[in-house]
Amino acid sequence: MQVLNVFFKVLKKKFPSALAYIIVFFSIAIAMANMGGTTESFEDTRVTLSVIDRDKTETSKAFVDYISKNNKVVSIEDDERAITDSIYNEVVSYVVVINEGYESKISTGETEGLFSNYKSPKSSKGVFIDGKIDLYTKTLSAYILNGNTTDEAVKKTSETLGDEVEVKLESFKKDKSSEFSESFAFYFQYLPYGILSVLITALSPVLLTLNKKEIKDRTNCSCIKFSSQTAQMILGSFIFAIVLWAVFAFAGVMMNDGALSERHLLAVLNSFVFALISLAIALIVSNLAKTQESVGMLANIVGLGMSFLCGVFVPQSLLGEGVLNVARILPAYWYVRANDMLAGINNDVYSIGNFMKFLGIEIAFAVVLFVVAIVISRMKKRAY
Amino acid sequence: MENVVVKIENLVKKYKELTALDHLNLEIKEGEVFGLLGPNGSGKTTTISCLLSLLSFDEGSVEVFGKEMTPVNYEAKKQIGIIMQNVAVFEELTVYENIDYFCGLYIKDKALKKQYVEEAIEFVGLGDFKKFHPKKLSGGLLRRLNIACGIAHKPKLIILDEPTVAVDPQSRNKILEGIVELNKQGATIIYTSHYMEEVEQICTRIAIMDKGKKIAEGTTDQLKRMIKNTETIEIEVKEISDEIISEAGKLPHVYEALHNDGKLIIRCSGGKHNLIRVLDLLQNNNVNFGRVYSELPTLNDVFLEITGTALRDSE
Ligand SMILES: Nc1ncnc2c1ncn2[C@@H]1O[C@H](COP(=O)(O)OP(=O)(O)OP(=O)(O)O)[C@@H](O)[C@H]1O
Ligand SMILES: [Mg+2]
Repeated sequence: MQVLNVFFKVLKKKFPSALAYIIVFFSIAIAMANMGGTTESFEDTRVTLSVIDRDKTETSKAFVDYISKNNKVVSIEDDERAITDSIYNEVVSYVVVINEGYESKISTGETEGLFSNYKSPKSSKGVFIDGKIDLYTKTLSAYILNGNTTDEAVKKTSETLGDEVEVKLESFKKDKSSEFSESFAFYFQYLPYGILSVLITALSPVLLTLNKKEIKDRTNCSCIKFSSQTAQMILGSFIFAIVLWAVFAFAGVMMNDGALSERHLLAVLNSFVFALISLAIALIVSNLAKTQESVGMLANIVGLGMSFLCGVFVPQSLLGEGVLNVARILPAYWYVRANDMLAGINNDVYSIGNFMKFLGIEIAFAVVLFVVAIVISRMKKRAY
Repeated sequence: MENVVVKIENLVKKYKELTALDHLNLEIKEGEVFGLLGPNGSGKTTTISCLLSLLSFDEGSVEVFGKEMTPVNYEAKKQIGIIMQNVAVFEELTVYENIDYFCGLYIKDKALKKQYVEEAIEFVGLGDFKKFHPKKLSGGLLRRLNIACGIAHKPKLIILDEPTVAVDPQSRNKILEGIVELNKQGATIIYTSHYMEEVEQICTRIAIMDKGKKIAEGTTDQLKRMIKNTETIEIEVKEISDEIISEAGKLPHVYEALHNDGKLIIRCSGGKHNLIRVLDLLQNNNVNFGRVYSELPTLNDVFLEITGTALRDSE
């Protein structure tokens, strides 16, 4: 186990460069835990909001009815100043402004520029309203584009969504027992960034060192088998990834009073699969990076880039359609989606089946990425 | 003593269009210090890499200890120690840990390994630097560490690829003495270099390479006998007429005489009393002269005569 031994010796030297990421990660996680309040959970979806209807048509009225349902509606003046004041003073946390021309636009199936909304930066619940609005206009325009008159479409939309919203709220309410706190949900939503950054910055340089041509040549000249060499490096990488994940997951659970319901366990499992994905990415990075410096750069590009696109930092519900479409081809998107579903903060209805579907997609990503890592390292071996 | 340790036959290695090794043949016998001499880019490292199966080659065959050398010939690998041109040590590990790691790739027994590592440290004189990291070592000490990593497991065949590049004279001598010592202890040595003095100093047999080809082979003496130049005489002369120069060129054994840069240069092939004849000629013609040098041929002259360029040009 000579190679494994030296693997950990080198890792010990490289690990401090990853400490910065760990410190950043935990400071944010701790800040969130203290801010998030422990009793408030995501299931509580009632939002205090105001609706300002500048279109004043039958169609817009139908929308007002829809959005008012299950929320506390406060009426305020239609005035820029009044709106911002009421948000600032926390009278309301969301103001929906239906723009003039709403009806004429939506009748053509157009869903852009229908609203000018305001929301409080302090409330995370605005995302529910965003989601509801999005769902409504998408459904409505779908009916219209399918040949219904606007009136018919409005009616059908109300029927469809009316039911669905009920169902959703039912399931949200049922979830109360899961005690999936905001800070727990956030910790695990944020975890990909931590695991990915630490793995890339600590592990890739180790592999880069062990695979340095001079050292590799010398090792290849010895009587250690090539397969044993590779196996020991991979074993070392796995051990490191798993220990790192275990520490992160344990800390996450502990910071949330050790709560471990079925959903918590699934969130932990979800993070385990993501740790494997991160490991595969780190393996690829160590095959692609030429120098230790480029590892740091790639860590930032991959870690930050994927995190931003996939809703690790910003909730997915706040990301644009275009971004999310791109994000779908990235594994972190499915991780976050599964996590959000467990937390009950997206439109996915929680079920083990759905969870397994997302997890399956992640596992598929992991497999593909591992294969890519192997192919690249094979190609490199053949190159000289 | 006549066992063949390495046998390279018709080795051809191409890097795309460039033919780095062109039908190379080498035979190295047990107990030799075999020198592979050639200018930069002549293919020394490529030869070593092919010999060790680190590189695949296009044609030819390599046998080590009587068996075909392949990446999985672990029996042969066990008995080989390599010191490559580029220092191959872990920056992250100390001197001791580095030697321990590479030795441990061969020696499984812990106690024996410890003994070997200590001996290697002693051998290269790094006893005071065991806990140092490579970055803290001077160029010479780093090279010695590089050597220690390659020889700690007491291999029978030791291959050193330009181990003295960028090393101060003191370390260089220490390294060369060490190599001779290893040979005395029974190891066969393959030593590549573009410093002819080193090769001349320690090697029992030498192959000279140029552009991927072996252009000459033999002991130092054999090589020098191959060429017609056996003595070069240089005399500091400020002024001299062309007639006297051409007269000097007609002296017995002299095949070239020229005046260059304030020096009269006479090249001779064989014969005795060459210097006396030249000095007589100058005195009889009242030519004033300063210092006089007479040099026996070097491997550089051998290289020069065969290839038309100096070995040192490329340095
Ligand atoms: N990986 C490679 N790809 C392409 N060409 C190469 C490669 N390695 C070496 N060469 C070329 O092959 C030739 C022989 O190189 P090699 O390194 O064997 O020479 P060398 O005698 O060891 O020189 P040096 O004294 O500089 O170490 C050179 O022309 C070199 O440019
Ligand atoms: Mg070389």
